[in-house]
Amino acid sequence: MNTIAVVLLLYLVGEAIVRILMIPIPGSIIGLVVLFLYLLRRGRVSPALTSVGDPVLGAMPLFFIPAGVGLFEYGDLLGGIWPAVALAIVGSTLVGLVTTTLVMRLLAPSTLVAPSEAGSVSIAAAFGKGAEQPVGTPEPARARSTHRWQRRVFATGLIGALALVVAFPSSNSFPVAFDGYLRYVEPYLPRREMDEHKASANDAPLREINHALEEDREMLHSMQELIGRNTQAIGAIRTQLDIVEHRLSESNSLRSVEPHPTKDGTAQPQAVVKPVDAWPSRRACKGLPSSERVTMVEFAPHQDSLSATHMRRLDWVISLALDCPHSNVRVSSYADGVHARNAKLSSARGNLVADYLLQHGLNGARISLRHLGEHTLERLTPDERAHARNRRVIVSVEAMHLRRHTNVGGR
Amino acid sequence: MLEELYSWVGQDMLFIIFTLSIYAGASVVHRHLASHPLLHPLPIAIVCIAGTLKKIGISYETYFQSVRFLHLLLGPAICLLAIPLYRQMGVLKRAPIAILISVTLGSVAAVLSALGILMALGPIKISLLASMAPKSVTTAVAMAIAERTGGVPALAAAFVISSGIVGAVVAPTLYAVIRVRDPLAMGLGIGTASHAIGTARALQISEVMGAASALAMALNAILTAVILPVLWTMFL
Repeated sequence: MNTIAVVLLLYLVGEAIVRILMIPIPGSIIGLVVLFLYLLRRGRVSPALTSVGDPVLGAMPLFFIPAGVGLFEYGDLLGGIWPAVALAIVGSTLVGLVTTTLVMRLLAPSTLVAPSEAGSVSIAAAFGKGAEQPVGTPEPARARSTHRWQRRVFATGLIGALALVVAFPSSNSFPVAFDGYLRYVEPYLPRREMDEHKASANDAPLREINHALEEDREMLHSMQELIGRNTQAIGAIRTQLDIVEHRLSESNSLRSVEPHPTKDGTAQPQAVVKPVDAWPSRRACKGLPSSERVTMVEFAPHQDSLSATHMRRLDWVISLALDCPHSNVRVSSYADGVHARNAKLSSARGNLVADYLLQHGLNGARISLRHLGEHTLERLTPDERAHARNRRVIVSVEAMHLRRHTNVGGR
Repeated sequence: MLEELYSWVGQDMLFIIFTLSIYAGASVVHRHLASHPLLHPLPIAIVCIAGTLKKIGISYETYFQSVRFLHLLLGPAICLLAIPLYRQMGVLKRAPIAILISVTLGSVAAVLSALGILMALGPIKISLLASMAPKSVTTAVAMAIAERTGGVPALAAAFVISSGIVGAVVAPTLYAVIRVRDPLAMGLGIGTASHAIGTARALQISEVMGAASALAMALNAILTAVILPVLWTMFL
């Protein structure tokens, strides 16, 4: 038990060293080096460490399953080029294997382990059948026959793989073209990739242009929003105008009747006044375009206050909700998963948004606040970038004829 | 049906049990039925699980969230590779320079051949090339490097895992074909080309091989992290 804690601490130490030195090497590898140095100093592997290490190492392939299953997510992503990618992966893996091994044999042919030291090393033992055989080199005849058999299987496998590569693209099971991949991948691309051509890591002018473009985009976004709000306002004014004109025409007709009764003295036409009180709001709700823009924006890491963009967005929500008295506002906050700290932060953000709505004139009874935490995530991958999309609060206004989402956050 | 199963042990536990039993089943098949290197339990289990998830309509996100525990164990497990490394010190100490050179050359050869094949097969976006280049190192290193050279980290991770599986599955057969029997050379090759997945496989074959593979994996990770970004700016 203690050993498990020590190993986990070791891993933590490795990660800490990586963070402190800012090197692009995973903490697990640093942990390996640290443990190795410790063992060198200690001079022996303690039985407790063996009792933890051996079963864990034996089960190691198991730990790759969660990540491995994710491979099937990328088939669609690569689209038409996946045979080339598959070929490159298989080919270069083989090249790497062969090169390392042959160079090693060339440089140090004497490292062939003596039979006594070999353990279960012989090639025959590498394949299941020989695994139970006693230690030592197998008789040559047997080895040769094994080789022939292996070669046949290898050739079959190679032909099968080639056939698969040829057959699959034509079976149309990967309809997404490379463009689809690029579009999907676009948000994750590093900034300098906006330029199609090569850009070295420190390309200052490009980065500046990029920065300017980014600012422009931000400005255009806010302008778009302004236009959206103005459109709404125009819609509301138009409705009001309709009502006023309606009333005006009614009163005109009344006036035209009242002061000048008809000459023949028949009954005055009854002015039919519609009940207009519930009308404008309903109309305003209905008048909104049915497909409102949905913007994917999130909170920056560790951000726990509302930016100007957030407030604009929330103001829009408030004006919408006030226009539609029969609507409810739902605030749902999400966390990006892994840490309890994030869940706390996300609910704090949810509260922040709800408070803002309350302070700006929305009736508390109409706000429902839900902390969804990590249970309903928008995206979940081992990749840190995708997590960024989960740092958000969704505010939705729901009316009788209306259901709008807008994401509140800032980029 | 599925909901009822959830209510028994909870979704996470259910998926962990499911994963472990599929892997155990694949291991049993591997050991007793065929005992063939191309039938390694890892790819079989992955294909079975992915197929089942698709069949019952569970998204990968949901699945990964549930079995995150297994994924988290990967880091500590890699730390523990120091044990076989230490035990096999005697073998590894014999030719330190040769090991360094062969791992470096193997690593460079893997990178160049990957890029060469991709470029030979047609016009490929530079971001894809950058994601492909670090494919022989551990996932975390590969993602960091890909990010630095303008690749897509998620894609790099996918390439890394697939080349790991390819190496783990193919290596024993390949060595039989090219008639290499030196466990040190074999382990170095596996560790260089297919990192931790290959190391896990090599450990199952023999401890010398596993130790050599772990050493090559660590060396390759460090070398690639240092060399590749430099090479990248020179090469392109």
